Amino acid sequence: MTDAERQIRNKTAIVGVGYTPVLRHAQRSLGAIAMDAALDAIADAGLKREDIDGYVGTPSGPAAAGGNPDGVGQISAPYLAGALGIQGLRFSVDIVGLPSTALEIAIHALYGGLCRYVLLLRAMYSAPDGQRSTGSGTRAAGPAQFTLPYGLSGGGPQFALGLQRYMHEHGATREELFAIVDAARTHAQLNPVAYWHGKTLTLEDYLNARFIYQPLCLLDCDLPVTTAGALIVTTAERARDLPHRPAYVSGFAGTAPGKETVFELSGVERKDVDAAQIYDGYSPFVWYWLEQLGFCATGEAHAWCQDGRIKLGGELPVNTAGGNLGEGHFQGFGHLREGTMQIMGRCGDRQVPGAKNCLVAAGQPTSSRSRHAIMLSAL
Amino acid sequence: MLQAERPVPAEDLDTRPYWEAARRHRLELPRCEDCGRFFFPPRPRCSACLSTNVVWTGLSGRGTVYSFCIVCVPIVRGIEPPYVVAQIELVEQQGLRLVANVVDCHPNDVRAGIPVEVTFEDLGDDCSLPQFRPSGASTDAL
Repeated sequence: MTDAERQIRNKTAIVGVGYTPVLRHAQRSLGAIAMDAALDAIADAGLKREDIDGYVGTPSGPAAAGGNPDGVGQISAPYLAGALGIQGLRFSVDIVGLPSTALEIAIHALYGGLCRYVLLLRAMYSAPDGQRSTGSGTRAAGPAQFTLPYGLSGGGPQFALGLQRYMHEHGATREELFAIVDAARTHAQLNPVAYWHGKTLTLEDYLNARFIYQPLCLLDCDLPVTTAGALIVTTAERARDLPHRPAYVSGFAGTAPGKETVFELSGVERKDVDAAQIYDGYSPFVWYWLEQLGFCATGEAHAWCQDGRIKLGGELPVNTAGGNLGEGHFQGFGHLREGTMQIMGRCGDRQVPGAKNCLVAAGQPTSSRSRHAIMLSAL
Repeated sequence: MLQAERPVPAEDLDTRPYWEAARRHRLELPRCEDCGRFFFPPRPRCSACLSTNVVWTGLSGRGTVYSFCIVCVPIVRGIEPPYVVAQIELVEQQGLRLVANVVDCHPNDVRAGIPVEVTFEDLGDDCSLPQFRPSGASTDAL
């Protein structure tokens, strides 16, 4: 463990949350929705906008087909600061990355003393035409020249290839995969803002759903939505004086092989994890993450997840707000928010009683791009 | 015509030999003369040892289906679903994989692990795509 990694344990905490309903398509502008989330988070933390002196945004929108005008398809730092009338940001950055990456930057900015209260924001836009990734264009340049002419575009088919291989190597079945979707959908019934709230799902429904990228069916894929969420992050000293029980960042790890795990960095053992929010843009991600995190051996997650083990009341409740599959495509922001709210004890009917440690796994588990395992803890 | 709208490879300096070989209906990949490994996609340096001592080398065109999926929705203009997208692992080297369609067989007959061989799909006069079909299959059989 490097000094920096050791020293950031419990030095910062998430102290406020704001979020809006998850809608397929919104009638209001994304700018208005983002403002709501930001103002709710600031108030939730017991702060005023004048207190906010740091901002980390992840503006790059998924609405690629329609372009991403500021305030419509994405929200930039200057847009939001202007809309909220926040002046005097001492630290402000828009990043290309995950909401977890934004948290990582906020942690370091706070630890380095660059600012006192950081607002994190993620706003998702689902264009009315529904198109996010399109294989348009007639010339495939760069790496795409070896994939696009074959009809391979976007992440979905790639993940279908991964799933098919996993099923081939480990004997996993779609009936077993349903456990992931089932847990997400079941938990979404306890989350009033979830897109799938009020809409239950049976195994029969799942197996009858049409294939998108066989073996992935429609219900294995998260749903494009419009929504916004915000978090307030501050130092441990300041967190103690605020209204809610802080969700301390006890560990923050990449997932490169051979590097320290989030369990080592946080000092929290796997058996002491009360709930896990695991990125589920596509259902099999949860299997891969559980194996990478060491909750079970490689090739065993499909069996490990059966019999209610990952549902509320089970050994390791996963995606207690529904995750991407139950709540909507939020690129992991919903996972961070739910982990925070579990530690704060504010999850109502879906609260894990006495939750002290909540693991958040962010990003695509098989990607070489950044992905993170974060431990949020009560002290 | 749908075929005319279908995306075609935009060659660059590093990838042109691949597509030039394909036009001659040959499968060639860069091979590092220092460490002996093939690599893909083509780059100016070996991705294992970073050597620039790279030679384009012909392959047998034989491989196995490492994995595959059936794309059931239209996601690329000019390519009508359903179709099979597969990762083909070439016999020359473990882990050496290309993406291609599995052709000359019904999508439901594709399985991970089946042996396949290269075939070439000509898209007009100046573009040919390496594709793969189950070993022993021929276009005559369809």
